Amino acid sequence: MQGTNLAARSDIRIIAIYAVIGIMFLVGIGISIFVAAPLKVGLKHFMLRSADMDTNLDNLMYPFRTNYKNIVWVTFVKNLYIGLWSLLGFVPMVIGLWKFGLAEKIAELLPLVQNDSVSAAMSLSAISSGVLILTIIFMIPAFIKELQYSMVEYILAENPNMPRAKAIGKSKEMMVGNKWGYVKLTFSFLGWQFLANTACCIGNFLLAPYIEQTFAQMYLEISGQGKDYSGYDYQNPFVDFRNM
Amino acid sequence: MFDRKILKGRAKIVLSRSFFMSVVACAIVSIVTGGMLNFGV
Repeated sequence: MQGTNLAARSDIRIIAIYAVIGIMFLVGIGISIFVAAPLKVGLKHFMLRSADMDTNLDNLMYPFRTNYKNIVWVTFVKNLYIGLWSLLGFVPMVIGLWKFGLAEKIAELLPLVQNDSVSAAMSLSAISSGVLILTIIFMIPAFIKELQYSMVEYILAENPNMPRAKAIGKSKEMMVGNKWGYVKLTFSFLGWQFLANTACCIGNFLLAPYIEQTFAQMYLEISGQGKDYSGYDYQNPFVDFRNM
Repeated sequence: MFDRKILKGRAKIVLSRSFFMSVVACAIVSIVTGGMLNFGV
């Protein structure tokens, strides 16, 4: 009787743990859709306004003051599209398991590897590298989509009322001929990011504005609004640049 | 196609005036989003 009670109690505990994890997962998704995504659009707006020398923390809240619903919807659809494209990455694994019986092969090879069989170890590493390479190849469309949709947040930061199809279409259009430049710009910060990581979190906090502002300048440039700060006076930095 | 150096130069000019506020803004977003600041993207 006591044993049955203990088993029931442990079952309840397991169910409670799963319920808590499930609730936390749902809350996390909710926060990322309804708070994090609009706030990122707010950061893009903040950076674009800063480029006009109008720096104000109030700009962060811009999406919550304007067409919040539309911003949430467009960013959600954008992330959904990228997520669906990313599912292609599972194709090699699924085909391998389903068509080529990879699970059985790995199960056969593992005991041999544990017994120091060199050929088994080589076969296992060949299988895993093959699957990894194929996964990376199948992820390429998702990377391309990520690049194509990368300007959506900036577009929304300027036009919060723009419908989903138009915002995504405009981003795609803007990124034609600029995808490789975007990748190179991203990688050009690797050295700084390495240095920032050596200084723990503080370094990243100091580096983030530089990266964000550079990408904001990129958006302005490819949308034909590139700024010319040639008249910038370092002795008098608080000059109004809005009409430059 | 854009020039990376020119963009970075412009970013430095903007930040020479708004660096502190930008750090605060990025920190707020980074904390609220749980460090999901995927720069640019």
